[in-house]
Amino acid sequence: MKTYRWPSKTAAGRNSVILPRIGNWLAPLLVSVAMSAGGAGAGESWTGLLAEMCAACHGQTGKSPGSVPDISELDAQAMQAFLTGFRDGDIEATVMDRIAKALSDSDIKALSRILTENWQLLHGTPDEENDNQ
Amino acid sequence: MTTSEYFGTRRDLLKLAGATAVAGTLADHVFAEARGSVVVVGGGFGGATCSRYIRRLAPGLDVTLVARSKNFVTCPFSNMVIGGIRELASVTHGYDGLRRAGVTVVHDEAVAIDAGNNGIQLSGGDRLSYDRLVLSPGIDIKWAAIDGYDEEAAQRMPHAWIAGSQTRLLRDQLGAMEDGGLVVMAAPANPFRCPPGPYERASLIASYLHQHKPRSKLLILDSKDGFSKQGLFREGWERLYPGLIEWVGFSEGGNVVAVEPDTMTVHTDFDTFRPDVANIIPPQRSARLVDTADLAEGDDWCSVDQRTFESRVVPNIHVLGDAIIAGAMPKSGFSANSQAKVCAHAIVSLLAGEDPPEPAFINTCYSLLKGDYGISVAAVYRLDENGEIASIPGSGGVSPSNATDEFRQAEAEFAKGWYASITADMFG
Repeated sequence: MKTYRWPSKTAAGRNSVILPRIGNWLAPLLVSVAMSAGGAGAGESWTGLLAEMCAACHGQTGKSPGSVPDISELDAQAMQAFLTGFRDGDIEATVMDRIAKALSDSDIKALSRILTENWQLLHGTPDEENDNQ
Repeated sequence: MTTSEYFGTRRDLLKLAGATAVAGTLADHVFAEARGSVVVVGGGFGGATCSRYIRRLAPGLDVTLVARSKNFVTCPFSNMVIGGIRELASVTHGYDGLRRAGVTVVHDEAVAIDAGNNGIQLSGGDRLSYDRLVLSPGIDIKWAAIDGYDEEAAQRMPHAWIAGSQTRLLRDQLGAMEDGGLVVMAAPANPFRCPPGPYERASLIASYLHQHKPRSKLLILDSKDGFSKQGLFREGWERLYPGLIEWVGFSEGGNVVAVEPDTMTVHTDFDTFRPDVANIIPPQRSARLVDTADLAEGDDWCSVDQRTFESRVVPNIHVLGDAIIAGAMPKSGFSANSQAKVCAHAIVSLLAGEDPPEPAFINTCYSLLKGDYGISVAAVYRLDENGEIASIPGSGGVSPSNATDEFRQAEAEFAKGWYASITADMFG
């Protein structure tokens, strides 16, 4: 499993109250997600277009030109861990908690896969090791 | 990376990967074979996004964007200009990024839709033909809905609800006002563009007055009894600007019925005010262009199939953004951006002879009460069983009340980040 580090340089300083706590929660979550990440779920069909909506805040490649956290380097497992954590109240957020409450487990799984696949293609640097779910 | 490189890369990768895909995702679906002409009218949040995404999805389509001005001034963040914490230039955007994305940008005004011949007439004399027409024309003011409030009155009592020269006018009037002056804002009944907008504006005007003209007062005369994020706004006002803002709802006599710009007089049902600065935000309707094809059928707003945004009145014409009723979605820049992506996918699918994918929408509206104090409302939407856009139960909602300063500060930072991201999403 890939070790994940919050990649945004802006997130670390400015949003000190909200974001550093994510690091504390992430390690155990990643373990549990990795254990359950067997075959990809079918997901709901609306997640294809839902993935397009993320760009309004996070940028078309997951990298905002502003202060919104950079999620472009997340792999699907980390993305899934974040969304699940936001939804279930295990990770503090300002707005992603409210948004993630719209998602079922299979939505989260599908959305995480779609976003990371799209962004790998947009970056032009696909990580084939992580592309095997 | 150019558009063609991006799609080339993607296609090669997908071939290698064996392309296992979910319908409707970007990664599996490049409509390289789609051919035809799409004309998009309106260079704002809906039109810019839609034209850019259509080109991204279907590089073979001819996409022409008709934008009235060479630059677009966003209504989002224009309240910061009015409050004196941003310059107008910082909320002004050009179309070069869209041109680089392969969109043909025409600076002209669409004046008449000729639906029978799939054409649209421009004021400069040109006529454009389309296979699919997208209208994201925004709002027009309903002049004279408030007695005496016409285009001339707006030069004395700016609405500043279409950003640009009106924004500058209101900012300058506030700048010229003496300390101890009275500012009156008239806020309209629902529905209207940007439901939290008047109250964000009131906050940022208060921020300016508090700092520079602390003996002044701001009176909001409202044509409704409640407003978006009301609890959070009132909490913030008490905390940041105690005693400066007074809000009068409809039942308390807040409904503005008439103005006399020559004497700077504002009339409600029961009272008369003589403010030093009057910001009259009047009732609105879809831009009048839609009437040339009777798309609103005499109503204020257009009705569309919320899966594809195709007009329920005229085929091959899609309408989105502030000009339509979009189920539970508010009229916001984020909503228009969200609808534009769904519409782009629908159009390329239809032109390729496929079924449009199942829609999904998000809207997050940030409001600033001060440069470093932000609040938000968010919602995720999909179609309900009747084909109407509906908010997903149990999700969304407003920022917590009584949050810490750090939380409000983080939301203000994210508001600025959102602005940077969405304008890049639209304009490149």
